[in-house]
Amino acid sequence: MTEPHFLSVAFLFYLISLIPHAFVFFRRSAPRLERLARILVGIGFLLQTMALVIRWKVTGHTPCTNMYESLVFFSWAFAASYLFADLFLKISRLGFFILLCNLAILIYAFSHDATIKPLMPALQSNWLLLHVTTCFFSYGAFAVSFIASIAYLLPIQKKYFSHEQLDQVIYKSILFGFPLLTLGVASGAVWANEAWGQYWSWDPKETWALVTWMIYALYLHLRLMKGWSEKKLAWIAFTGFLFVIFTYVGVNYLLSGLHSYAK
Amino acid sequence: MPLSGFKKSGEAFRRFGEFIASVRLTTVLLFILIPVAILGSLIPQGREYAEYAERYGFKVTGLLYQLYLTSVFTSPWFLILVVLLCANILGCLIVSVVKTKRSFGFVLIHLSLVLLIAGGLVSATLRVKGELVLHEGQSATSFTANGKTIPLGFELRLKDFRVEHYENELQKLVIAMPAQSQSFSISEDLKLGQSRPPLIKGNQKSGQKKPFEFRFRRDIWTTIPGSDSQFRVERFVPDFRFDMGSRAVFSASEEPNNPAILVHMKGKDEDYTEWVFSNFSDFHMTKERPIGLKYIWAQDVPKDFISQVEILEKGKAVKMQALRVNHPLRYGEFSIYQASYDSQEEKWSGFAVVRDPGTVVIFTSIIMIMLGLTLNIYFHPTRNKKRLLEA
Repeated sequence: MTEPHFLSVAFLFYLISLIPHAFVFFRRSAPRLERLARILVGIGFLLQTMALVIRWKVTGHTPCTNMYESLVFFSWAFAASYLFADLFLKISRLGFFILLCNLAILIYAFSHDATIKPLMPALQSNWLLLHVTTCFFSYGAFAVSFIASIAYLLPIQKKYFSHEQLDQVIYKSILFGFPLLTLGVASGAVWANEAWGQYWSWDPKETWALVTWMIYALYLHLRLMKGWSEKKLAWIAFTGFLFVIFTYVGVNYLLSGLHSYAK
Repeated sequence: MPLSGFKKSGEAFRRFGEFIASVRLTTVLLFILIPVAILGSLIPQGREYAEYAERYGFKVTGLLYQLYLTSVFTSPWFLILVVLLCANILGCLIVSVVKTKRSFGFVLIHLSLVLLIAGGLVSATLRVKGELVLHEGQSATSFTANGKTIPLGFELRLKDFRVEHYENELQKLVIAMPAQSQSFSISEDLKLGQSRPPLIKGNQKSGQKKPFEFRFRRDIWTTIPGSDSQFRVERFVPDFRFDMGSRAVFSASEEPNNPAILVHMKGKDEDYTEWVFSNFSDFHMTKERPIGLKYIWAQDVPKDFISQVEILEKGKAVKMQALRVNHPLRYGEFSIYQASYDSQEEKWSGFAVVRDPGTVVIFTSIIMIMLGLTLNIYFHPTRNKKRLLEA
């Protein structure tokens, strides 16, 4: 089996998991269905891991050097973040929306060119692995906080979720992702110093990553020091992820800079 | 001055100190810095006046220059904001150490941020970045940065420069020779043309042509194995157009919409140049020739730029290195990077020479912040910390 096979089957498992997830969402207590949903996502995740491993082996580098590869990688990190968060915070109720988003990411990935292209000299570095994995795992964690913040801000939440629980999901996902984003930006700076002789050049991608970092730093300070209300904080978490999306996708298409190979 | 005056100014000073060391100021500064940074990414930075004028018009451009919006991140007001943020973090740090007992992680994180800003300021003032172009065999003892000549303190010599390409990604010229003239050895090594195994294998019927694939470089004569013919690619245009009036060839754009090469063929019986098109392999601008040419265009993807350099001190070689992208050469107080190259003949290599005392400060701060965040978030139970105000 090749990479597309594994990825397609993974996609299918994520898709099927929507059914038990939907039941979990509507019913107050459904431990068996929760377990089934978890298993389906788990299998999908393992298959996607296999797809990534195969691509890694074929290309000989971290599969994160163009838009297709990075979207698949992001989707994988998102699924990992969900499974991880579910382990500690029991968020399978949010699973339906998380999986829906993840499927959308994969569909978006499939719309990009998947052919393997040779790696340009600037990307041939061991820093690539650390830089992209940390960035994408932080994005995955922030994506979980984003879904939770939407659930918090929508009027339906009272019926299905408790305020307290959603607030905890938002807070803890951000807390988990923040050091990863810091390491992602920092390792990028070290790499830039190695490749271009300048650790920071206010390239649009760098600037937007910094802006995103500042927003999440702001979230943590407003929460821990200023005691802002949960609703206001949910708005900040929501906005934070919009910045993540722009940093990740928007900058590539709308602003030109050093990271233009990410198109 | 009466005593109340001292008291008043003392009170004002205390209040100012409290303001500087307040989380409120942090919040305000972040709320200002975020849109400022966004502005700096939306308006292209450090371009020529003409470019801004064309994009925004003269009136707006004038305003952009007045407000330093064409160089946001080096503007005085951005500097003020950053210094204020640095003072703010330092203030919070001092207060937290003196007044409230904060964790070691907290101190590390905030101290690292102060260091980060300090390191950035050191770089902004003391960083030197210059350019140095060396031809093969040439050496230099100094470089130029902002019009100034700066001595290296050693001699840098370029021994050899070469570009490595991805084999499968190169553009090719396929040449089909008339069948009767084939008496060649396939394994014959062509130093520059790099012959490839023939596309068609097996017995050749009479009249059939024997195609050869060549990776080529411009302006270099390459012999076609088993024949007296040679070829040379003399010109490349990405978007071929022909002006009927002047009978001149030009490129309509830089996009590879209609890539074409001008091939010069020279042999016993022929000596001619001919345009060969990647998109229209059967199109000939002149009459049909016995030698068939087919051009396969491909985006040139270099694999690596390798400059073999050596450092000489008093004429003696003390260090040798293959200087490549992502593998800079560090010697003395300078770091030397592969920056540009001779794409035509691969005879010269361009280097960026950098001296930045801020880098070490930045890297120290990175280690500190990562250590602090790991301690505080993944190990220290900050995550269980109760919020100040419950909603």
